[in-house]
Amino acid sequence: MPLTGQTDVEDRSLLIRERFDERRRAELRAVVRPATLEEFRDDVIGRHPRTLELRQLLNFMRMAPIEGRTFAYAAPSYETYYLARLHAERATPPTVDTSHTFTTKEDAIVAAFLERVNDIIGADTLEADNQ
Amino acid sequence: MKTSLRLRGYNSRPNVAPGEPLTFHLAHAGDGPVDTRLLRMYNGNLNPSGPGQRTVHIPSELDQRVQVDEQFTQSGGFIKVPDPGGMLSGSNGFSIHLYVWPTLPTLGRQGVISRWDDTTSTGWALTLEPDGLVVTLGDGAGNVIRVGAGIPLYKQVWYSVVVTVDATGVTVSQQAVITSTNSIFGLVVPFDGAAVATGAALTPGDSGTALLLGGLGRHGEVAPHHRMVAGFNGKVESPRYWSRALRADEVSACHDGQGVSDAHLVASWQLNQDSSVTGSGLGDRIEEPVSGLVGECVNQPDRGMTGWKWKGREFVFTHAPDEYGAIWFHNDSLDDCRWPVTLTYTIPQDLPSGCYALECTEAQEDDPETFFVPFFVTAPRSAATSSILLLIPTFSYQAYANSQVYQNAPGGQLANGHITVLEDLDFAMSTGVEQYGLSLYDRHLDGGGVQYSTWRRPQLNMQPAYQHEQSSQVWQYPADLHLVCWMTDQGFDYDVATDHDLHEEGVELLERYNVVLTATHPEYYSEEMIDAWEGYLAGGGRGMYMGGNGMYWVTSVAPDKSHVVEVRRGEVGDQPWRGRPGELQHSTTGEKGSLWRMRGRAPQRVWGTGYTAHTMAVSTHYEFLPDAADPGVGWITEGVDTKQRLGDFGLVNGGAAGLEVDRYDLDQGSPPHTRVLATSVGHDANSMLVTEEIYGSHPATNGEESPLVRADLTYFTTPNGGAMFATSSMSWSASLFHHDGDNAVAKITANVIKRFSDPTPIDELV
Repeated sequence: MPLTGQTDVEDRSLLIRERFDERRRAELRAVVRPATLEEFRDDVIGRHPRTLELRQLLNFMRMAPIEGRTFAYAAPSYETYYLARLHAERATPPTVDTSHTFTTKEDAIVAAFLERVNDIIGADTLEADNQ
Repeated sequence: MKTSLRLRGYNSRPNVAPGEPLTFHLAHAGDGPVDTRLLRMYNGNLNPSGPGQRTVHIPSELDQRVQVDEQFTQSGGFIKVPDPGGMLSGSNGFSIHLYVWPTLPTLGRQGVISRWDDTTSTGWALTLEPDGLVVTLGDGAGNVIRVGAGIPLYKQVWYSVVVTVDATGVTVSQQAVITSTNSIFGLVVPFDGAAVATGAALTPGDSGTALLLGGLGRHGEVAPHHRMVAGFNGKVESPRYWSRALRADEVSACHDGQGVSDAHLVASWQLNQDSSVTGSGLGDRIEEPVSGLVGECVNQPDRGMTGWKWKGREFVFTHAPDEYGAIWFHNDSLDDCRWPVTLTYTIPQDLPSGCYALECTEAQEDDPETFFVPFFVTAPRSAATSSILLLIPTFSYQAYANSQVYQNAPGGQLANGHITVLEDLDFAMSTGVEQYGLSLYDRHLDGGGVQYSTWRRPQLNMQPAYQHEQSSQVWQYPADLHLVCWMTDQGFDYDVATDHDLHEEGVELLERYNVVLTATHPEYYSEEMIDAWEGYLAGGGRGMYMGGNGMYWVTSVAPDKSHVVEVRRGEVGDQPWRGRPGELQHSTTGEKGSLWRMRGRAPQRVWGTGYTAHTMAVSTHYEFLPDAADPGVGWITEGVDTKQRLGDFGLVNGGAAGLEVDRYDLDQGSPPHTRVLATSVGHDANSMLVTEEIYGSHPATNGEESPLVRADLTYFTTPNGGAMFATSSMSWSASLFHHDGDNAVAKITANVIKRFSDPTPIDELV
């Protein structure tokens, strides 16, 4: 029975990517420490060479799908920043979290970073490490 | 958070000379009036460490309070075939044969070919719907019949489609025509796309519309009264129309690619032909040799595209027109918003050359919106009013216009190495694609790269304070204003001209000046512009390349539409998308696209350096090299301590070497007598070597590990007393203001401008 038209074609790459991400999260969870997060906080743009752990963590979060990705939202005049999440469907506005306000771009970027870290390896793990 | 703008606008062209008219086209969704005035623009970046927003109000006839209406924008590419005589109305039976290659087959109803009014359901239409192709007939009295082929189409597969209609019924017949090269997959896939469906017919009424390829017509009470809806996404090739129903054997012959009697053949559109253009390019005209039912492209669908006969042996559409019979439609393409004129302004003879904008502000107290419509006033035509010329890179502004890479491309942040900062303007671009269009960095909704960009639309990322989505820093226009502001503050008297002027006037424009400066990112260049620079420098001109990643992508201008530029990406290059195989030739000129380097015209050959890396997160400094001690170049660094770092400061990520940087390379044609005065050091691991420098995949291509990731400060002399100086960095000009302008970057820049603007021949240094 030949194919006849566009149906729901299963893209096996998605499953492979899912398994990759799962494995990568586990690997990052094993190596990322509170010190890794402090390293980012102390040098947001990366002027100094980063540790391998932080570099790999950043690379992984920067290749995440668009849907749900956290970014820093600059309110007009660039005096106030918030966190927000993107949506993958074109023309769907992002969701802005106004519960926290940041006065510098760097602070907002750090917060976005921490939120993504939590998405990737879970807040509980790091809190446990902290204790 | 705002996700849309009430007030926006554009102008007819970026460049205008004294005595020439400029039109402004505004739209306003608010109730009250809008105040407009003319501003001279000096700086936009709100960074408190810089000069802040600097504009000067120029009293003029543009000081007005105007009532501005909301405007409709027709988005989506299509072909319009006027049919005032009703030759295509189908009232006595008809047939259509064409080839279709859909790209979003499940999106929803999309008009493939039609003579249809969607308001009254009158006429006939072939649409693509999630369940497949559908023929619809409407008599205008409320009677409508639909006959569907019954199987969905597969994405990026070529189909031959025949529709026949007469009093006995409607037939829609389709067959896949897959070859080894024309579709998403080849012959190894067991695929049967054939279907035939029949149904009862009715006599279609006269829709009163044009025939449309790539959409459906819709009459409306509100202007514009004729609109296109249900835009198609995908390619169409070789549409033909007969004024009778073809027989079954003729339908089979169509599918087999065999000849069919021309009896009652009314139209055969040649989508790959345009007699209105001299040379190899294609404009907006579609030839129709049978009855003269000539078509017109609207919103710049992709031309020069591979068709169902493409064999993968020929790559130039003019060499094998039979294999390049297709046009690719996208339902989100745009070549002109076509809004009515709100204001017309003729540039006064005494208005100095410079950067200007129409400032538009809502006349209301509560949260008024302001929108800037920038433009550039040149010196009077064929004249110069200064010895210094600053070239404004308007082709590059167009290439980036309304780019939304970070909101749509998962890998965007990985490439640039930082966490994105977005603002309201970014969201407005995304939610308003139908009126703002896309940039040459974006993809159409169906995944095709955007190949054409128009000036005639609101440009949200040309607002003076905008921080660009790709760098979270000023970029292009706001970044170039840094240089404008600094040169003004330093007392340099200068003219401005744009890429559009340089493309049109060539070397004669440059020859009026002792020195010509680029702005910070002159990335998109036409052949005419490179010729002009090379001729100017060889003739004794002096150039200052004040940016990075310049003269990189082959860029052309659409015939008869100077407001539209074209770029084809592919093969190599630092690029957001890659053109499909066989689709690298520009439709507008027929020339090969991609990088100038791949056409033997690397920027090193003219400016001394060429693009080598992007370094978006961290800018750094230069170190002087032994060449800086050459007595022949001592005047460049006069007043500067060459034992110190150069440029470890600046408004853009803290250094004069950043964002995108270029390097000296003898193998790419840097003149052999080039002096490399300084080179940048200390780039970070997110500073990445460009792909054309990576022949085989290997590690260590980043700023920490690769010696090729750097910006080189270079100088060489040219024949007849000329010379060329290159900063090779986009962030150089953002360092000019440091320490109130008393810094090494500013001193070097000023030294070079002063010497280069002095007509005394420069001593040759070889």
